[in-house]
Amino acid sequence: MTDHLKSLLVGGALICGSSAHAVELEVTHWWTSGGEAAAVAKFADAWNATGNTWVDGAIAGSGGTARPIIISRILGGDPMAATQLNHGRQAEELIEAGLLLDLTDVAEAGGWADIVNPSSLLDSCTLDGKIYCVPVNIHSAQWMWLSHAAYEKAGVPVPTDWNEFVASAAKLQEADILPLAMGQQGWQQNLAFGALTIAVAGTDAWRAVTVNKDADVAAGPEFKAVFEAAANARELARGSNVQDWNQATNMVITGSAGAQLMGDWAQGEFAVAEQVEGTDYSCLPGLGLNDVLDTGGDAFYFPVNDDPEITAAQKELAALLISPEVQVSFNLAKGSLPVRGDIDMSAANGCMQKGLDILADGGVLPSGDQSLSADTQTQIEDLMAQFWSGDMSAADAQESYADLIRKAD
Amino acid sequence: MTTASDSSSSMTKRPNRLFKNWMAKLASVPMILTALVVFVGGTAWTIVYSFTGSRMLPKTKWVGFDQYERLWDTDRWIISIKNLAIYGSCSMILTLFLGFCLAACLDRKIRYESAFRTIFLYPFALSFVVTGLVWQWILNPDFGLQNVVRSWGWESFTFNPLNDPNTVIYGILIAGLWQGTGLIMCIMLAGLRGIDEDIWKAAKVDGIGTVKTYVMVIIPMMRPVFVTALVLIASGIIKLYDLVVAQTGGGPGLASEVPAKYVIEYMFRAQNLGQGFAASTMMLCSVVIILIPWAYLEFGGKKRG
Amino acid sequence: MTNSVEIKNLDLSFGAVHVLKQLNLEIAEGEFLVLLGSSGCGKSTLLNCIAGLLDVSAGQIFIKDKNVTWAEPSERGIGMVFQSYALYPQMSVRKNLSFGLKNAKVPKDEINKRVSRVAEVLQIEALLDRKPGALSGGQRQRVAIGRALVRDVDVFLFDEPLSNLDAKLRTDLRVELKRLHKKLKNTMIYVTHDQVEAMTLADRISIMKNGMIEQLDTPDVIYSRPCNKYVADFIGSPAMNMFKGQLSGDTFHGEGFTVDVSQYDFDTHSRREGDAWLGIRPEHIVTGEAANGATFSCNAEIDILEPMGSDTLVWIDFAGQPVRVRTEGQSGLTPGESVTIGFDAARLHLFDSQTETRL
Repeated sequence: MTDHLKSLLVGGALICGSSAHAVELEVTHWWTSGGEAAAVAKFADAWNATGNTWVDGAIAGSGGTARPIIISRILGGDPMAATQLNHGRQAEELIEAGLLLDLTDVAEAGGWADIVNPSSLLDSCTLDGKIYCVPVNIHSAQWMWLSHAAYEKAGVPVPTDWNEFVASAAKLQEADILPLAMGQQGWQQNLAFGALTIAVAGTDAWRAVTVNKDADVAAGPEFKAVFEAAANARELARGSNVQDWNQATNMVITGSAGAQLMGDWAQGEFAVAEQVEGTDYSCLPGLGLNDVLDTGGDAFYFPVNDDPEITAAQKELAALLISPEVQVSFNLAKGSLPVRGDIDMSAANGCMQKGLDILADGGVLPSGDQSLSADTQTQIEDLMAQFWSGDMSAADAQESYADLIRKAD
Repeated sequence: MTTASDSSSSMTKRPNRLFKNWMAKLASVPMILTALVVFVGGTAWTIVYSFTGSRMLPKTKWVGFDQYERLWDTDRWIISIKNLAIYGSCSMILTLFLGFCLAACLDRKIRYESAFRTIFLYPFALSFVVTGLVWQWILNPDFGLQNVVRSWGWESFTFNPLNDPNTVIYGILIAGLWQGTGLIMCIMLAGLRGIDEDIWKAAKVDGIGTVKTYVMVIIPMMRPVFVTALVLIASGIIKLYDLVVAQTGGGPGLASEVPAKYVIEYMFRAQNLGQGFAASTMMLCSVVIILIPWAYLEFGGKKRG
Repeated sequence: MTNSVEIKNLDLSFGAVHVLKQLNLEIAEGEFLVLLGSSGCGKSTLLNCIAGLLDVSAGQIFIKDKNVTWAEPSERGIGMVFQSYALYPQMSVRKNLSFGLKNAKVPKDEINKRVSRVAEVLQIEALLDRKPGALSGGQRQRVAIGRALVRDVDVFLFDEPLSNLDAKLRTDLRVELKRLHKKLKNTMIYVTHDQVEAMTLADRISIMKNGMIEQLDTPDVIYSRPCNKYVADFIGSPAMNMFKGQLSGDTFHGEGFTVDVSQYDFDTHSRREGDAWLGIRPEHIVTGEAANGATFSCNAEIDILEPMGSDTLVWIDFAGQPVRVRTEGQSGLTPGESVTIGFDAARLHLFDSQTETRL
């Protein structure tokens, strides 16, 4: 073989080799608000930097709209390369049907079992000892966001917990400010209810009902207090005509509402609006009453694919998403907590630091998604929608809730 | 003699009826297959699986009537049925009435008839999603009709049906009527045009007033047109879904839920196929309950008369 | 004698189209007046104006001395029968008859009385409980007439009522209508394009053309003294034969023949000179022996024979055009045969060439 030919062959192999890396992966997600879009761009940039291409498949509407689309694509035989889903049981049946890629080898190579904190996140990805997803962040839902501008206008000091907030509500109403902003969608009302549960009833009661599905506790006195607090909150939120969660957050940002009960992803909205924590807004994890956060969040799943090149790329992406640099850049932009306990998050702002501290202290709980099936979640959301928009009494709502827990699977 | 009849009988053998007009039969095979497999087959499959405990994927785990028991125990389903009943009856009556009145007005040889016809028919060209969104904006108290009238000076004017659980279904009804009346008007107009001019003259000579002529003479003559209109309106009522999603999202709370929305959400969002199938089987039952008496009236009556 | 219907200077225009022009008409009580003409002449339009179904542009209409120009149809004291019967299809015959009366709040026994009377007159008693869809054409038309009759009015309007029926039924119902008129003695205004109906039914015929009345006379007069060429052409089946020529004094010079017209009944003011038309009806041309004694006679060759059973239509070539001759019964003539034809001056019709009016 001539030298000429040899160099051609080597050059060809090199080119082929490098072009073998330039894979296009379609990634679907529902991060479409301002803050969320900025965060997912960090993932895209990191992936594009490896020489591959990130084909963005953003789906408008929140998880409730996007999940059915994602699932029907996977079931329908036209799967995307990677997709966001929440931690928990949403993909359970898909895994059982063998439609999602097994990532155990990637997990073992990256030592995920050691770095993922809390370990419940990885447990949600595991079925029969095999790992099917890579967790990418931790979101907690038990936050109260307060507008300093609103409280200044009302001439009241910014409350430091839920009870103070309820006491200050009358002054806010006098100043023509809506005390509590609430979007008219079931999941938001459910989230508020969950936050109140942890704050008012305590973690044991919460665990008993959500994880162990104990209907007696659900009908008991701890939850009676929760429902009464919810009824209170309902009064304070009357007049919120907005639909989406970020529209409600916007009311807090502009000072037309005093507070919102929303998860830590609201952080991103404040960041995009260039508001400063402590000056323009405050955040109270656990509503200031109970320093506990639940640990829901997002994980990436990879539908099974025939093409070995794509499968290899999928595994590469999985490892990338959990790598230290990407975890830092992504979570800072999103306002969520990283899944790794071994990285430097000193660039994070005050709210995130509070969250990190609670995480480090171990004051965490698994999220509702991880314990309750989509069916039960939907039924609870229906109940919340009915409760929050009408005049159902706290007692009636509690009775229906206990019933749902009794029948939950 | 025998040979002649033999040869004639072999020449004129009766053709096999199956192959008579075979080209038309061949052309209709795809439609027959679609009807059998998709409509009949799909319906039967759904009804069968409504007796299972299927979750995200269909499973043959028989649970008997459990899904139906749960269905009728669910507040959201009861609200959906109530809403559909209200929407259905109002829509049926009002669409027929308004459609007929508009058609009667247009039939009176007015000027610019084609311009009016276009204006009334135009909303029908819009999708339900667009209709729902447009009416959500119009009925929005802060930017829509209420605000406009208030800015004209009438300060205490309130028109906010979408934010009150008791009236939200009527807000949806307004949007639905706006969208659907145009088509019914056109059908009625076509029917009116088919009425012999002399009938009008005879009624005039007899001294029958215009309204009475319409009610007692013209409308009975338009029976087939009314039946067609009824079928069209009914199909629009049963499949009410995208209008609700676009206009109110089912809210406030659960006040504007409808059965089709219940089916979709429990099938996909709640990942509970069994529930969704049970709900859609109930929807099929309601259609059948209405169809059977109608079919008897239309076809059974003819056999007797 | 009061006039039942009077029409004064009636004008009707549809936009730019002038349909009825300065029409004047007086109809006596109990008269059967036929409006006759070809399509588009305005006869149906005139009827609709009398009925009140069309608004007039100018002029007045009086019914029984009451000015009804702007009155509603139901207040004019008229009943109307339509070409397409226009029965209410969803109602039984009895209801069809009584619907208008019930609407006018006539008492129930009065309604029943009238309905049974009309049913008896028209012989539709057996049909009272049937719907129009279950009736034959003739029966439907009787019901339509019945619906007009129950109204107990003086004037009946008929808009080509027999046009939708087959020939035999038409002749039967025609006779019935005549009997009905004789019995009821109401004023009847009847529109038709069929001259046979007009001739047999009418007391007077009004021949219309282009929105104007050409001639208003009894059938006899219209037949024997048509006032212009159009009327002469219209009435008579087969149509009148027309010859172009010049009139000078007592002679008519046609193409290749002359006729002595001294016995012709000229109008007082008619001139006797100039271009003219000579018309003679086929039934007034005699053949054979009778021709020899006529005012004018000549020989001609037979072209075609059309035997019709009761008479024969003979086509002959004469004066350079085909001429129709009607003979009684089976003529015994053959085509190609030469035959003597002749006619009397008294049976002639002369029309001015330009104005087409009778001389």
